[in-house]
Amino acid sequence: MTEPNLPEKEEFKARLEKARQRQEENSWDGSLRAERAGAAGRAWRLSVEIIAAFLVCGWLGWLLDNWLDTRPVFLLVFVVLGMIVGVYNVFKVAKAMNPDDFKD
Amino acid sequence: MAEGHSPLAQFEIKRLVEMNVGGVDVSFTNSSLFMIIVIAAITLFLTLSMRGRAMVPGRMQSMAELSYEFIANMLKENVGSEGRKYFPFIFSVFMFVLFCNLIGMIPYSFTVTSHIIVTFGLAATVFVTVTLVGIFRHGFKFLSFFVPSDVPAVLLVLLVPIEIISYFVRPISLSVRLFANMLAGHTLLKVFGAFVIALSWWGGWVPLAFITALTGLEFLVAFLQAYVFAILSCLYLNDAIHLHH
Repeated sequence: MTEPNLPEKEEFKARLEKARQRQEENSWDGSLRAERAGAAGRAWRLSVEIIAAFLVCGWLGWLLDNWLDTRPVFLLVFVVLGMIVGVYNVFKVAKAMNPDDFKD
Repeated sequence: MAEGHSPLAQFEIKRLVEMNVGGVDVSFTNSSLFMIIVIAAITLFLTLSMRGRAMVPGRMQSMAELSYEFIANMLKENVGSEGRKYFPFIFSVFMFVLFCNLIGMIPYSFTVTSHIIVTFGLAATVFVTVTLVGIFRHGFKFLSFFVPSDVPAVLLVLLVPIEIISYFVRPISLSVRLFANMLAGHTLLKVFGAFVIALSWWGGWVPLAFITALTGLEFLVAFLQAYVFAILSCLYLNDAIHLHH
């Protein structure tokens, strides 16, 4: 048995990697299969998404108010923004969870 | 005795070895101790169980192989073949969170993940790593991640700030989810434990039965939250690598 020379080996390696990638891409249908597994996991993802956006935006508004001495203008603006971001995030996550339901 | 009655006493940080570096308190606490225990437990579990290297794995070896394959498949399904090189990162995060949660279930132990600063540290590490991966891979094109596709230009003025905020909310939502679960679960166990004592032998059986069921649920939560933490890290990584929503 002779040792295959190096360039041939490299080329084979590249072809193997390409084939492997193609096979993996075909087997992945774009939806998050594992995500669907746990209902509790899903519920936690969605609920915390709203609360976190609300908290972060409220905190940001409060910081801006303290900094610019404009209480409570920015707090109110950012709390409303936080609600919008929260709902927007939930919409995005829900879309990723059930891509079929969002097709027109 | 008195300090043991508060359901929140179990989360107290105690300084075991006082240390001070340049005015900053870096004491070795019970939290640090349990982090070291967790790291030691993971290392022992993985090395000892794989020492046999049997073709047909025994009980411990198949548990180690199962956790490896679990994360490997998670990366393959959610990130694709490019995710393979980030396996060590995701695997370390998953095992650390899982073992913190599980060791916290041992009575009289300390749950490291019930403190938001710890979970935030983990989430921030994931967030910074993933952002750096995105920037190094795509350069300035990474910013296109904040511009949603197929949206009219008028709406972009509104949507781009929302996208940017929602990106920076990620480490908070990631850390709050884990921390809130652990804190709530362990507090509830302690509260119902107090009910058992308060109602004594004639009425304590009801909360005792409830605690038993709740303990089972807490083990489930320990696994589930480690899983959710790891899979969200994978999804964020996928966003950074493929730049699509």
